[in-house]
Amino acid sequence: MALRVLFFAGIREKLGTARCELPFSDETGDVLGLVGRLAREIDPLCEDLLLAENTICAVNREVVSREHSLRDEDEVAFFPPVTGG
Amino acid sequence: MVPCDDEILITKADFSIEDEYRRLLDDDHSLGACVLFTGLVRDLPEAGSLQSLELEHYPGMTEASIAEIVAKARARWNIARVRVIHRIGKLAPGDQIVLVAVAGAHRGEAFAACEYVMDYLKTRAPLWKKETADGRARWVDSRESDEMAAARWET
Repeated sequence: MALRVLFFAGIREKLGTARCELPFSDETGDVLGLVGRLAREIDPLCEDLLLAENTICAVNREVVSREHSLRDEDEVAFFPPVTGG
Repeated sequence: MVPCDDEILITKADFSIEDEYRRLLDDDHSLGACVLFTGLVRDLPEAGSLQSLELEHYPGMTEASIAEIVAKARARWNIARVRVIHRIGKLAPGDQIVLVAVAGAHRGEAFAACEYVMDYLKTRAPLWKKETADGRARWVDSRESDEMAAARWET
């Protein structure tokens, strides 16, 4: 019963961690709710970093909006605009 | 995400254009065109200042996202074979960084599909570049021109 949360590139560096796990609870709700929990339980920096306009959120490897509802066992990733190629 | 039997490879290793070309064509005489695009690590405007380029990716999502782009290219053009290789890890100026190879019956569709895959790979696939120049490392910013290159396929 957990949410896996991943951070990449500049976000990973600023938070000083690549991943964390949070126990799932129905009260988490959507991505916005998860960011609130991360800011309280992991690092207050999460609020600004993860809700920045250009930060992308993917759930189970699909890009989603901040209002996307989370389910138990979801893999949630936050990353900056991509620059491959 | 769509499963796809096109070969997509994310790897630290370098690739050989000649080997990839032969493998893609596989002696199939129905193919009349093969387009290969190679992206290279380019030095910065102040020549000689880029020391290294480091590529990070999101394992699993990178492959799935490129597979989805290739599937969309296949739905749009009549192409037979596709091969995409993207390197990760530490690279130096002049190194090969990405290969998009498309083979099909005719050149027009192969050219278009190759450019389409490359444009969307640059703006959708979760890969990030960090460059080190003059002893300082910084994450490369995304470019609006790349976003516009991808957007032109939507009209």
